[in-house]
Amino acid sequence: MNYSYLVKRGIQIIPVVFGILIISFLMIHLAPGDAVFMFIGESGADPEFEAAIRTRLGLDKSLFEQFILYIKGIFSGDLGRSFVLNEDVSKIIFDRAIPTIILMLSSISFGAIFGILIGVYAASKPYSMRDNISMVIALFLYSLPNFWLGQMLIIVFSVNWGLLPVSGMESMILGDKSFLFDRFTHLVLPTITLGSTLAAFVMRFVRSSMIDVLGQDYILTAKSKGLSERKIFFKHALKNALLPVITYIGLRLGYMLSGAVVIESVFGWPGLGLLMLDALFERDYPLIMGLFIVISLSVTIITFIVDILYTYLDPRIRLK
Amino acid sequence: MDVLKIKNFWKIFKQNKLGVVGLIILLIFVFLAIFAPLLARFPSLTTGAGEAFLNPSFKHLLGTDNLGRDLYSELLFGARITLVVSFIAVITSTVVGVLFGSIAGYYGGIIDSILMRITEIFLVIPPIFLALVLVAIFGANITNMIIVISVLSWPQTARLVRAEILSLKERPYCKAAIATGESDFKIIFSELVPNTMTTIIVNLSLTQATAILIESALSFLGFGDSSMVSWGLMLNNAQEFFRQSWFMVFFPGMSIFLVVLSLNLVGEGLNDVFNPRRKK
Repeated sequence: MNYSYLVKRGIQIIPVVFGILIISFLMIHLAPGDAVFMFIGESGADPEFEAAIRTRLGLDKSLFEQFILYIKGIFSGDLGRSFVLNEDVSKIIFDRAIPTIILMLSSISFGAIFGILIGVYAASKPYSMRDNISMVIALFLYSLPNFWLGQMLIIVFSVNWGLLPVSGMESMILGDKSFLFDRFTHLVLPTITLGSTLAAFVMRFVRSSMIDVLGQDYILTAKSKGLSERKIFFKHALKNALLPVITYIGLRLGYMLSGAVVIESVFGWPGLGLLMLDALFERDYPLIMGLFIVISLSVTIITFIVDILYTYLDPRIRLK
Repeated sequence: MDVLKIKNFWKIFKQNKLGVVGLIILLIFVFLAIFAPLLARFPSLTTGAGEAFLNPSFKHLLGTDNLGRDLYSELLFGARITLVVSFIAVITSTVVGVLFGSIAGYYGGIIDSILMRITEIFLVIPPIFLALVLVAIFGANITNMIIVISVLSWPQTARLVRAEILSLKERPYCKAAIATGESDFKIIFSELVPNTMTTIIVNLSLTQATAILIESALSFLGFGDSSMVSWGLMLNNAQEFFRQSWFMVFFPGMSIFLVVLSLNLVGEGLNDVFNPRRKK
């Protein structure tokens, strides 16, 4: 493993991390009105209380000092306290992260598998009927507003046919269903909804990646050695074409999380997205900013890990 | 000359059948949006135009919603908001993106690094999160919605334009312009940027497709301008009434889908015209 690449890539994320922190800091401080009123409401508490809050929040210090305090807090894992839930923001986020992680993992698996299958199928005969139809499917899928897809799936599968639960993550009363089966039935529709957009992008990506690899010299060499088309396609081309998909999915993570906010709202899935929406409606600023920072930093870190993983798997990048 | 160009353009564009279909769908929606007041049977947000949850009929072409509003009329007015908001946002973000992208590409060095880091930040922040936070803090109205969508869209345009400028500035004609002592401003905006126009135009239709999806998602989540009907808002309203009426969900969503699809199709058609090499 080439460590200089790792270090170089690591240094690159520092400005990104600071950028995220600066944006979140500025958003609160550039917001119209005095920040104190965001915390105590416009009703106008007595001046003593207002001053106390001002000191507690550090709003009596200069903007720069406030920023330093803010950064210090974040790096020590202190994201403040939620007004509405009266708990530490970091604890609330930690508790609610698991449903989102479950949803993300299942959607990414669904999207990746479905996307790779169709993409490979399309690339097996470029510009043929099957290729064209596959690409039209991809185009349809990524033009679909996913919250609408979710609503329509609920109407068909839950309301009309009564096959799957309408919303939530678990049933109130399990009955004779097993715990895992119950969770699974709740997960099906959100996964399809969130995974379908990813599938559409993966389809197109895998297809062009496959066609690209199939045009390379070593494929010609394999052909001239007399290997069967099938063997070349699956053993030589597919392996190399699938590698970049890892990075590609990593790059789409931010969009997936965006989708998760919307999908969680459609399906009442009790994850970070729903938490964010509640926090926004309640104007719970510490929680909003905490979520914003945690989500953005997670995407940064996961993208970084995916990138490193990719260089590990593909020696060509490492040697560059 | 220009007539010839347009003729030629159309000749290539019409070969992409899907692109033509997209263009037709798009034009129909634009027509409906422009003539909404004439085509609609009731003014926007008229409650009690009929009974609640009526099925589609001759009087109410697409049925009515929970407050007895005529869905057909609402849909037409919704088209205006959805198309106008996304269009203005896309124009704004394109102007900003081209400006920053061309400057970064032309000057390189520190300016370029700073700009690239900024666009990277926007790549890792999930777009809907940023949009929701901004709209929640600064208020949910049309102007803020346009600003937020522009803020989310400009980095992609900037990166695209920067990449083009990087290769264009190595071309002999640009070197010649530099050698004749033309000002940087003139080189950027009369030599380089016009040559990136084709990329920008293709990007325009694709960005607008994304912009419509963001606008609808925000309205759907309840962070749109609730004083004006948009397709996302109609879907937000429908969320509680799945059991009573499926068409409250079906028609607005179908409209969003068709417009986004048509913009994507037109984008691919334009790509065929401008980048013939990338075609099969």
